Amino acid sequence: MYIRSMIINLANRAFSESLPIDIMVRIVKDLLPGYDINRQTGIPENIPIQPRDAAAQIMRDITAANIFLPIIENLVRLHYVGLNGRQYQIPLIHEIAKELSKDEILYDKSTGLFVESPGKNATPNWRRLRPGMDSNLTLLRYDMVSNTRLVRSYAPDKIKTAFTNYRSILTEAVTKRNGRIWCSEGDGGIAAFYYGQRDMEAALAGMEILHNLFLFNRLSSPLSEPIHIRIAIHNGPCRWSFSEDELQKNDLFQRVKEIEAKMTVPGSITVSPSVYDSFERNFATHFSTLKTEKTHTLKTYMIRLEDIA
Amino acid sequence: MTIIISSDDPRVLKLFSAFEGKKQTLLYVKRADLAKVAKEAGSDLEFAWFDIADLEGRKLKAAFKTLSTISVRWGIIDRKGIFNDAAEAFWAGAADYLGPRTDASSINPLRLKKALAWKKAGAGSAAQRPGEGDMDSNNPLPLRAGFIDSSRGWTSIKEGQEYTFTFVYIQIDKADKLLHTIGETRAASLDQEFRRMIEHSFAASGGLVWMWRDYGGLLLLPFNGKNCPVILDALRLWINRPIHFADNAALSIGFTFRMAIHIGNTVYKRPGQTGNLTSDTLNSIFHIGYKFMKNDTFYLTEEAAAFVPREISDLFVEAGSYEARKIKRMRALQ
Repeated sequence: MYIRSMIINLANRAFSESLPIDIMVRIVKDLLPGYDINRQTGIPENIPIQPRDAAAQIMRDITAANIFLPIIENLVRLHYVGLNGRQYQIPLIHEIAKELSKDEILYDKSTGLFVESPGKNATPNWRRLRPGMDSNLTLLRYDMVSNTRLVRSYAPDKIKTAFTNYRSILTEAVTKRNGRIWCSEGDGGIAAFYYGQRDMEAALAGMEILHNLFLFNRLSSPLSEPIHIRIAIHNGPCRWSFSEDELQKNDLFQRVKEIEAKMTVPGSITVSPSVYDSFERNFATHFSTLKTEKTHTLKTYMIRLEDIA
Repeated sequence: MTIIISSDDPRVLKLFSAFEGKKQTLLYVKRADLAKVAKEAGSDLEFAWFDIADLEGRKLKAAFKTLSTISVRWGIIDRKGIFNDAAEAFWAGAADYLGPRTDASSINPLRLKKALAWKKAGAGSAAQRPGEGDMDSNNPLPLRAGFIDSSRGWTSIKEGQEYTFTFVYIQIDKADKLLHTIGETRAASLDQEFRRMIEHSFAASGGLVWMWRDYGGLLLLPFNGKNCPVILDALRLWINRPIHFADNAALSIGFTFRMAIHIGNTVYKRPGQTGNLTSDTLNSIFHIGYKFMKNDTFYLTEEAAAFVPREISDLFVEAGSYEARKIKRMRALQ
């Protein structure tokens, strides 16, 4: 992840001017267990390290390890909450947050995390996930039903209009909840959610997609039949890679694809038990047990209109 | 339902003998009294036929001006053939024309039905936006009072003057019980956030929270007499309730609300200054909300239902009548 040198310099000053070396090291050890400042600087233990030198070394190490943002989050906690009952004033913390915000990395008070905003500079890994790093994520798998038949049945301009709208419905629902669309295969794909209540965010994005498609099909679609989508949501550990092929090797990918393809009815969302269990009680009432599945552990949601026949 | 036959010659009533014994009540009215009687008939008035015998020039124009102020569709009785071309009557706004050659046997309830269904050409053209189109061309303007355009925006709406608005009634169900369950602090937060959600949902259509009290209120929205995009805003809000509630901690406590849309006339007063306002429209919408609606429902009065885009008309079903007004409700989402 690229962090501007100006921000690194500010962090360097914040460390060296506000914290004793043992606290600096402690902050880093939270994320890099076994971190040894003497080994890193090459200065023997019997020779005192200057705070400025320690801070500079730490900056080099945390940027190389791609943990700059988590370290700054620890710094924020130190400033506002303190450590072991002691408060540490870090005057430059606001300057750092201000500079990060210029790069569309915003501090979210509710989670205490710096979050990459879903703007034009959004990255697929939120500038957080590192290659080879396992993270708990929620994946939303979506696939348009019968898209090949639709393409063959309608004039290209109608298909283009319909599919463009379909994609914008998907993208908007995912990005507004700070999700990222990782893989697109035709008119299917996978979106990932990392921050906050990621299971809820994924489910809400899925609901929004269904609702907006419902309205689009009735009000604006140039096609004479509705576009249907199947959505599946599952969570678990996932190893990040910039290679899509590598990403697809994650078990999480395989499972969410399986739920979508084999257990999801067109026009519905299916969620795995671990996703459902994280739902708030009232929200969970909108989901019902998927009876077609043997274990009866999957839950499903769809727009069901009262039957008037 | 009442039909007015407005003429200075009582013999024209013979033309309408086919209505005898039917559900419509014929009311013979002198031409000079038309506007007054039509107003008195109020929501019971269904149609009016007006005799233009011996009216020409300025008098005819004045008659058309009077006719344009009544709240229902109207037709012309022209036994003397003052109009060389029947189209002139339709261009003037008529929905029916009884010329010198119109046979009395063809003046019957079926003709009335067709006249009520007739609409000015050009409205509801192909240029309309999907789903936001003009009223279904099979329906006449269904208002019970004369249409007074309020669509030029709030800056042009003058206090103390009457306009036709779209009204959205919204109320949290069982609000009093809810207060006991969740406590005053959370209830206050619920009220505030619920109102914010409602304001946000109707902001694009120029929604103004006109009255608000105890977990519900009445929104006023400009109405142009041609279409009612508020219905789509309301539909979006209704479908997306689970999302709105989950997104806001204050709303995620498990409650339902009822919502109704109506179109009608009222004198405009600023929010907070509406205490002494009396209006048929206000009475109607509040009565429907308090006495007729069930929990967790979305209703449309017949005035609003006439503007439901045909693409979503199957989402609404008959829900009966209340105070001589047909009501539709949205099919439940299960």
